[in-house]
Amino acid sequence: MSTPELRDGSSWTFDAFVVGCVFDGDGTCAFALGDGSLRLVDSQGTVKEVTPHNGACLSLVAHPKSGFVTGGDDGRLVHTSDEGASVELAKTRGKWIEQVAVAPDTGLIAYAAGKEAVILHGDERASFAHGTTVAGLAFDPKGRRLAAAHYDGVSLWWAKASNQGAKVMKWKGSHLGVTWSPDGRFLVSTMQENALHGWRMEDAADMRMTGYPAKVKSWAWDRRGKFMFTSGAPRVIGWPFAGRSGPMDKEPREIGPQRDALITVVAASPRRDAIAAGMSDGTVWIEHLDDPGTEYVALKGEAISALAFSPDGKALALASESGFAALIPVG
Amino acid sequence: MTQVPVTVLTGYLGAGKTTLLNRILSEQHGKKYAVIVNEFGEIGIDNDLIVDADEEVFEMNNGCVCCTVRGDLIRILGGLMKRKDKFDAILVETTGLADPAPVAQTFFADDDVKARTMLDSITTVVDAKHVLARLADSPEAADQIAFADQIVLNKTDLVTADELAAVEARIRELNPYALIHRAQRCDVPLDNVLGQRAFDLARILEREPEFLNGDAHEHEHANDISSISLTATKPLDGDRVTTWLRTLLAEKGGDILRAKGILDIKGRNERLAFQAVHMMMEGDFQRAWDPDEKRISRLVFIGRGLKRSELKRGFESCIA
Repeated sequence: MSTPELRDGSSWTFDAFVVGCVFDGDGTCAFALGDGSLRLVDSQGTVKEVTPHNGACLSLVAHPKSGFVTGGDDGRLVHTSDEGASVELAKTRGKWIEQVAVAPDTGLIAYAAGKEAVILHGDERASFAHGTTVAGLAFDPKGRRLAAAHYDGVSLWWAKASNQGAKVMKWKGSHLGVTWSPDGRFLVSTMQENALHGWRMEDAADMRMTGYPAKVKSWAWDRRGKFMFTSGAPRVIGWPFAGRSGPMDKEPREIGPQRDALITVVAASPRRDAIAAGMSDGTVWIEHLDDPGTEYVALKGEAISALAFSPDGKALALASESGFAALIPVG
Repeated sequence: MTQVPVTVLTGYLGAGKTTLLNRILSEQHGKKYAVIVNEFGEIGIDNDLIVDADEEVFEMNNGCVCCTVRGDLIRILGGLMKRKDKFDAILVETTGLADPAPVAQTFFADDDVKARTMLDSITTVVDAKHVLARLADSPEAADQIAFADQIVLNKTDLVTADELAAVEARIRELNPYALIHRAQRCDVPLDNVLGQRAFDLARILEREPEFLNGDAHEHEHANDISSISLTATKPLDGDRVTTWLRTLLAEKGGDILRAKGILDIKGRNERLAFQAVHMMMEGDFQRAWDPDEKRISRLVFIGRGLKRSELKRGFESCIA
């Protein structure tokens, strides 16, 4: 393993695949690992290790209030506080919890276990059945509706309605991830093929976004909600969503340097018009959309598997498949 | 990046797959295996490395109807690769009625699966006592044998020597190149089954080239599975043979279950090895021919309603 070169900041070697990283509202950063542990880094840079899962962590999100929610291959969904105290939120038998979504506005938490999607609201629990495995979950921006990606489409469920049928946005093929545009006008899925599929919600018009050399596994909406940035190519691909037609009949914007490696993860700054990207060769860079010029944050190493800006946009967390992790101050 | 070998275990209901899996999970072999099963309850062993799968067969959006993959397998293999404890091997059990094609095609079609794992073998467990009856009444039984890189011929203690010979002859008709391990209660040494790189056709063709010498007879019935082997002693034109194979698989790939070959390409000192499952093909120049090795191009097709004369004509048109 080559040692990554950092521009600045603090770094750690965690010795397991880093599945994800995220900051919660209090500014604590969590790294979720393939050994079932969470590494919590507070604003002073102190690291605390807790192990919510017996196996591997497979998903990580910030809890709507404080702390973190993780799903694991032990079939458990766990809330861990900033102090490291863990509470089990759900447990399934023989299924992995690979997908977790939260709605900050309504406080809802959703997870998928096999073909079932479940919404938790306090002690209440509502479950939604699908014909095939739910591979992606996302709440709409208002936190009232849940989108579940599966084979041949995406099902939409109202979080609070009982006795409802799903509204199914159909498109042939295996949909692996799903996201809403920040204004809620568009729904976009990532697919088994190297492509995205989108729907305009007002009329369910289809949008195809193709041309990637690899599967798209990471995406980020810019802070104004005008672009959806994606991994899956040597440069970051940004699809324009400003007009009524979104990316229909438009070319995507390509951002960042042309390198002989693939973008594996992307993150958008909440403070500036800037995008960060992690690559398969361990490089991490930031580029400002209105000011071309690439700022390299990390060089060399194993494929970057996690990337996140802090809520104030002044720190960038990054981590790799081999367990290298870092927190870097950004301008 | 090291690729974790994956063994796919197929076989009709009652053939003995679960017996073999139980042995793999319970024996002291000092190795770490993850086992992906479709019926959690059948394995009577509690082990966190047993993963429950749903056998979700998905079509790929590439206009090819026979291009199906196992969506659940792509997810599970991806998840296993994130675990801290690395595996010596992964086993995938399929249901008794499963078509082996989607699981094999998953290893061709998904880039992440290709990068981190490699198909070690498709291993089919066959019940010596009942296989002839199964072959008569269910097409899946024939598919599973035709697809196999190796066969565990189980329950040999329940048949006579003559019956066993008849069963082996029938298996050879369907699949001339699979290795056959005779077994009782699946007592085949695990080292002979796992880590064989049997899917790597180069090794199979090298080990038992005599399979390719016998001229398999052409079957009368269009739906029968048969195998056809072809050889050429003169070098082939690289472009022509690639085009021929691509066209052949695009047109007839639905009927061709497996194809394997080692080819002598004019102007190249390395052997071109290729293999295909239905319409999906991959090929690579491998090691150089040995100076004292006979440069013979060899090809095997296993499929339904294959026409020897047609294949032979196509193959010979590729001679440089």
